[in-house]
Amino acid sequence: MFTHVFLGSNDIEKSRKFYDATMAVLGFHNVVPPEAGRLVYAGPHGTFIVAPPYNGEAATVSNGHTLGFSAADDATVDAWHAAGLAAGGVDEGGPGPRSAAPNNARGAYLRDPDGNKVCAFNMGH
Amino acid sequence: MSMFTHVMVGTNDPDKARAFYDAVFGALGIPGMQAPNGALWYGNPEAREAMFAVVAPRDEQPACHANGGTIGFKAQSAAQVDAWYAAGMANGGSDEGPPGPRDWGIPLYVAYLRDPDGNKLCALFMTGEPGEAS
Repeated sequence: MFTHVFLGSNDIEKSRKFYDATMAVLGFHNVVPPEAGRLVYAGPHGTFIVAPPYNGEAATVSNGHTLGFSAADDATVDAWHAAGLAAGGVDEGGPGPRSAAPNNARGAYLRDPDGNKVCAFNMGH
Repeated sequence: MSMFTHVMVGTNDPDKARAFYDAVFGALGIPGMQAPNGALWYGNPEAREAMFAVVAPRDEQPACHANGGTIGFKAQSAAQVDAWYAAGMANGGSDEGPPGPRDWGIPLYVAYLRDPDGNKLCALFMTGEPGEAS
């Protein structure tokens, strides 16, 4: 359904530390050089981009917005959350079953260093 | 496996959001449903593909859009990008860049809209992929 999702950053180095750590757990790596000033995590079925907004204004957080990443298994959900906490993220809900998700899937929630809400879910239950 | 499980955006007016998203997802051939808690979900839950949701924020504070946030939806043809944009404009969306070719290293056909709550969206067709309208 998605080609890409873009999130704004006000400090790309803080974002780099957080997303390099958390995306590596999921098997994705930044594919553009540091001087690009943005982060591009490309996969065969989706691309995730973090960058300062194009309009030159500060990045702001949406209330209501959540971006969910796929984790291959429960251990990956746990490792993703731990990696994010160790790399500048803020806990928004620790790893565990989520009764609102299909099949009681295991998920975990974090805020990235800019406050964007992200989560990782193993939907393979 | 898609990189994403789901993307959720907030709304302050679920009826307006439903009119808009039913129209734009209809143009992409993606079905929608309403969960018991009122959230709108789009996609095929049986397909184990990514889903999109529109909700009133759980913290009961007003929904607001991000600056710097964009969600890109996959279209199967340039004509589908055109239809997506037209459906959105006719159902409460606002123009953020009309349909047309772009070249970001790979040739693309893209249109941009804001939903009724200001969330920035685009529909994107990778020109030359199978399914291109001839």
